[in-house]
Amino acid sequence: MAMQTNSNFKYLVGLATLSIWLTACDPLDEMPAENTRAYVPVYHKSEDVYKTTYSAARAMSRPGKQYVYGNLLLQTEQNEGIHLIDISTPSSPRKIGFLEIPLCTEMSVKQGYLYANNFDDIVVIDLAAAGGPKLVKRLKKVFTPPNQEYPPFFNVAFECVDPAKGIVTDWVLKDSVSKANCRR
Amino acid sequence: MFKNQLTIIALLSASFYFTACDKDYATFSAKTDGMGGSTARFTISGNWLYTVDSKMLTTYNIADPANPSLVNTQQVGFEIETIFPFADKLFIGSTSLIHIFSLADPAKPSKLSTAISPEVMRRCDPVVARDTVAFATLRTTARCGGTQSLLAVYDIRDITKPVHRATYPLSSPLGLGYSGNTLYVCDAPGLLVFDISNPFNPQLKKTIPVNNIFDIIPYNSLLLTQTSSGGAIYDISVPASPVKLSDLN
Repeated sequence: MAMQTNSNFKYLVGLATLSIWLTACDPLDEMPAENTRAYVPVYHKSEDVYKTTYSAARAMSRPGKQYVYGNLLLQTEQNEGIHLIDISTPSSPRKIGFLEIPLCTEMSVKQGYLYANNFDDIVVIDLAAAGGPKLVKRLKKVFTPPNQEYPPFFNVAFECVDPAKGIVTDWVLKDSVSKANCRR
Repeated sequence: MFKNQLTIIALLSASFYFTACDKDYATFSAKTDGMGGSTARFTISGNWLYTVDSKMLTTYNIADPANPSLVNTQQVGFEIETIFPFADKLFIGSTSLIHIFSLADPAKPSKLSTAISPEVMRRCDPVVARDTVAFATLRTTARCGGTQSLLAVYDIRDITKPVHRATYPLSSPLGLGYSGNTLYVCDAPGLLVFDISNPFNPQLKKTIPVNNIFDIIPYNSLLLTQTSSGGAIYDISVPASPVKLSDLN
């Protein structure tokens, strides 16, 4: 009931001021809430984030974005790295390897060099290096990943982020959250 | 592992050969550096890599592809979501606006204009452009307003003054892309196939049911789809009639 009233109030404010984005979706709008349905951050431990490793092909678990370059398809495994997939026979794609790049979400390729984010770093990987894909350069702290402060939803309650607990990789909706003290 | 390495090199080589010889206009095959989906935050144009995070557009010189260097960082706006290159422009989608940047000086993109969404709302805005037309999906979120999610079409003949010309109602759209006169849109019911022969009057021709489809990449005669379970590869030799070839999982 309290949430409904709040929502209606904000709707009116939005209509009155044409500033819906500034009112209804303020991530810093705190209000106490106990045992409510809310989003809870999923943390990634901060150690061992800055590394890249090439390993055997693996099954997709939580696949993400794709990038295609000739007959090579790259597809992220959310927060873990990038699947390398041979699509030269499109009716029968074949995974050929997996690049472990923790907290990778984005990628592009030029002339065999892969640019991908490794959390907030950008790494350059020579895909055609002798002996397997190899890290050739790392640009430190140049990319700010999204959603470190709030879940990607609007008008929701959520547990406030504690940066000391690590990097936020995801949000899960739980039914009875004891400290859903943040709203957006 | 050694065999796989040879495979990667062969795949990359095939790409070089293919792109160098391709002059087909109908798809994005003129791109020489591969292609991502409409929800990407990285894109390459010539010797330049552009990245967007929530606020900033960053430019890297990749003339030496092994050794990129950061050359420019500038603030674009708020809640930036996507970046899409077309010709000498960058289209940057945010939750409320589309920002159009000129690459006349590729080392330092300069803002040409801003296209305002048809209704003042929050939503996700992937955008693609073709010739003098830009397409964007505008997705309302459940509890942040009550108006319709839609496909928006902008006339960008005057790139400094984008004009919103058409809308088509959708359920919960995400990524989009086109091949020739066919526009593909990811929406809650699946993959929507539009005829855009007249871009300001898009005609829905087909809905291919797909669960949780997020984005697509039309790439020459193939259409790659990204879904929560991986995706699929379609043959779009006839762009209006995608034929599924395989699943990615």
